[in-house]
Amino acid sequence: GGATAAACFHNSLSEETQGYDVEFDPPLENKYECPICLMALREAVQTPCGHRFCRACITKSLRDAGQKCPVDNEILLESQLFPDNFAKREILSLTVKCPNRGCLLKMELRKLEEHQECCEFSTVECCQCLGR
Amino acid sequence: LIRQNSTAIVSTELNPIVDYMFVATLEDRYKCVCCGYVLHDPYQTACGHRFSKKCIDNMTQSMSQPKCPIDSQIIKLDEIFKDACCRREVLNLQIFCINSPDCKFQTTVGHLKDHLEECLFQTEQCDQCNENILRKDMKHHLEYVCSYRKEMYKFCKES
Ligand SMILES: [Zn+2]
Ligand SMILES: [Zn+2]
Ligand SMILES: [Zn+2]
Ligand SMILES: [Zn+2]
Ligand SMILES: [Zn+2]
Ligand SMILES: [Zn+2]
Ligand SMILES: [Zn+2]
Repeated sequence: GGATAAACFHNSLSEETQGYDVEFDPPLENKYECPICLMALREAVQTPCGHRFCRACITKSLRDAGQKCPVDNEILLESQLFPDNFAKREILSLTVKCPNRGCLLKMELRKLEEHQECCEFSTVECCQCLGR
Repeated sequence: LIRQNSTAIVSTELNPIVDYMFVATLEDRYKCVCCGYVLHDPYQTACGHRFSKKCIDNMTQSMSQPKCPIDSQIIKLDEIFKDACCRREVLNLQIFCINSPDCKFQTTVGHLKDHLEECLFQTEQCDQCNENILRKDMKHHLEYVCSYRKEMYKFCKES
């Protein structure tokens, strides 16, 4: 019913804002991995205790699991989070593999989205059978 | 959940005077964008650049509108934060002991202080004559060289 549809919608939204689930080449350094979603930091923020998280992951954790750092349990308020723009820039310039099967292209993470829009190996909904 | 490096910080302060000899070439990401030296007590600006505390303090105190030397963005005081992650990364960088090449020991920036407490090639002050002696030579110094020892010896002979 309507409730499950809403839940699904909510899930897909929060999934989108987790880290970047993509293969890095060379592999991602540990320090740029979010300790919550275990993916590459998206909109990296830093805590005063010296840990990095995706903004969405830590915001959700502070709301659901209490106002503490999930790594070391230090008291942590949302207002103490700082955008780690240095880490963000470095992560966006890391090389990733296009996740589409068959595509062998590698590019900077910041160019991935743009590439996927024109990647020959992207799967698209057929406009002929759509909605049938 | 402990995937990121959570090693306890050993020394609370890096010594900014020490000229570290890094085992691997120091990456730009660990250099202060203002002075080019290794980041000591790093702070990050909203434009995503890192400064040593001393440099950011200098800039914010001496200029009415401090600007980032890389991208000329105006640095706002309330948007600067203490970059604890970067600090930990710098403390974990591998260096040679400052008494290299005599001392062959490799350590990290954060552990250097501990090593120097026991490094045999570190100079110590003799607490008898105040002379500076290598730690490895101190025993010999106290037994055979120290002037205080000679005075004692003289005193013994005279009496
Ligand atoms: Zn995350
Ligand atoms: Zn923490
Ligand atoms: Zn592709
Ligand atoms: Zn500097
Ligand atoms: Zn800047
Ligand atoms: Zn040594
Ligand atoms: Zn002496």
